[in-house]
Amino acid sequence: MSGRIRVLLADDEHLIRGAVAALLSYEDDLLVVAEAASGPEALAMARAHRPDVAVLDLQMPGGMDGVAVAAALRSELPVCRTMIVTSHGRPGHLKRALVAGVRGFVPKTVSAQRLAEIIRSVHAGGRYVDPELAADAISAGDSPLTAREAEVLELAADGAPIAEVARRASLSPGTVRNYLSSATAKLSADNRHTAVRIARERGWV
Amino acid sequence: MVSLTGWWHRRSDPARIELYTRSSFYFFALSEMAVLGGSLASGVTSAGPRLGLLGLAAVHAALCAVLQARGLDWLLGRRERPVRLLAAVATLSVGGAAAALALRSGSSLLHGVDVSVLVVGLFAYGLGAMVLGIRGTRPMLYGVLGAAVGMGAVCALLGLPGPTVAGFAAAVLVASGVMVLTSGCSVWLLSVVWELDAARELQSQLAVAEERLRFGRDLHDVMGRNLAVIALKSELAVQLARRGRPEAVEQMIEVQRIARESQHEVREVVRGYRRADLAVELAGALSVLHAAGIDGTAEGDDGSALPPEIQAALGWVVREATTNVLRHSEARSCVIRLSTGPSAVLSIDNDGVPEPAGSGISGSGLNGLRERLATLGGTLDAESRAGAFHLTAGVPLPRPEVPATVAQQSGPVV
Repeated sequence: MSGRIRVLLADDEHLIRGAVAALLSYEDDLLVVAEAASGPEALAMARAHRPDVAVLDLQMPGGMDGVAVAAALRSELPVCRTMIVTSHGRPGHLKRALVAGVRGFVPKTVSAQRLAEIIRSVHAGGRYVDPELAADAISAGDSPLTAREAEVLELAADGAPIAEVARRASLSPGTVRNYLSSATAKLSADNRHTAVRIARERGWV
Repeated sequence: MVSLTGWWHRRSDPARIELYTRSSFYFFALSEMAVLGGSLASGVTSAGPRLGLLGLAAVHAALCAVLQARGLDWLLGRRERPVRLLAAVATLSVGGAAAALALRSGSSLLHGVDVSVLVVGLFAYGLGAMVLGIRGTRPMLYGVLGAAVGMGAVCALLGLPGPTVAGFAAAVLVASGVMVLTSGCSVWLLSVVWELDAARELQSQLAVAEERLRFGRDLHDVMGRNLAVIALKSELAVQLARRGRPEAVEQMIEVQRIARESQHEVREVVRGYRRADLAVELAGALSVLHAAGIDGTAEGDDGSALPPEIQAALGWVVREATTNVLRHSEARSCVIRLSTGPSAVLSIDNDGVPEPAGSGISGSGLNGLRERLATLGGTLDAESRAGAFHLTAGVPLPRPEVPATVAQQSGPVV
């Protein structure tokens, strides 16, 4: 223990995870106690190793993304502070992360040295939100779309027919049609393509 | 309410018009029953033949309704042409009319019952339905003429007098002409509406594709060069490192810098596709604050009437200030107030700034904002007192009748 901050790293790209772990190991006050490549694995590792700070990649396989892991950790392991690392700042994610009690929201391009500073600050009870990612989320306004509507709309973004969207979303065509029509109505668009464009312009998908 | 009207609201406009058209065709079938049934009510005769003719009309009307539904599907390209139904309706129309005429002339069963409406109706309604199994106006015209000639031929075969033959032929010509025109126009209107809808859909898809191309091009412009430089510099660093040369470090520092810049530029490209809108920024700021458990409120104007460049500048202030509030988990509340008069004044107060005062917005962030506002003749004031942080941005508004250059010289308002 020796007063070092115990860190869990979760990222499905092992090249990045390995590099970050190697770089963090040069920081004397940090100790990477566990690494994980998926959401469920991250949760299991956190249960086993009880880290002080969990640094979670936003997009991970296994049915649980970083925010879902953070939400689970908040109830299971409240002493563990959570941080999200992401390569793209889709506006909805920051809000979801904040609601899940995430204390740090950092772009993947952050240097390891800076990441170490942020881990320390988050461990000390601070909150860090990358200004650029926050600016993206703020300038996107308040999206009227539900997460499901945004997801289906995004799957339809390339002009795919409903049947194809349904296949991608693993939903029935009727359900997809309902989501698309409610999203289209909420955005006051003529059709789903216009809805996609509006949502894109505002950064909601 | 929603579930009551949902079946209608969920339909697109063309789908609604199709529903309306289909209902009208079903109404045709009902009207056929009413008209033909009504015409058989007069006169005295035994129930047998009358019921037989009524049954004939009912079967004919039902077949016509099915043919119309299937024919419409065929015309809209959703199923095979209903050939057998077409043949069935044609046979029933001609055969039914011939049988009714034969009963009328050849036996005493139908005393006083006027079958002429039935005869003409079977032809007219039948043809009105068969039109949905035909494409093009010329075949429809031939159909009408053929029906009139066929009617005449049937009458002549039954040995009816000349004027009666001509009368029946003329009646069929007019009645089926009207029916064919009505059905044909409905179908034509419906197919035009669907075609327009398909064209609109295609147009939107093209717009999506075009936008994707434009986006891809922009992204490539930004990223292509940077990635090439990164690849080259990394390779150089590898070679240098293999030879144990310390310059490898310099090269990798460069790679690091370029990678980070690229990220920034990509974000700029994405952001370039959005327009500045202060009301949207305010709504976004409040929703993000709310997500972080901070009580955020906006008061006064929403800024949607302000000139775009002022909205953009104040939007930046909102973003910076909100990000700042987010960074301090101590903040519990944040009030954003916008007032417009001779100048637009945006003030943002929050209660969570830790010591020292200067660490609110970093010095460079504050200066950046100040410079941006200064180009519009505006000012920025930041102060921290009693554990609260106040940020006030003021931008003079150009008066409508005064050119913007003059308005910019009016005194900055705080």
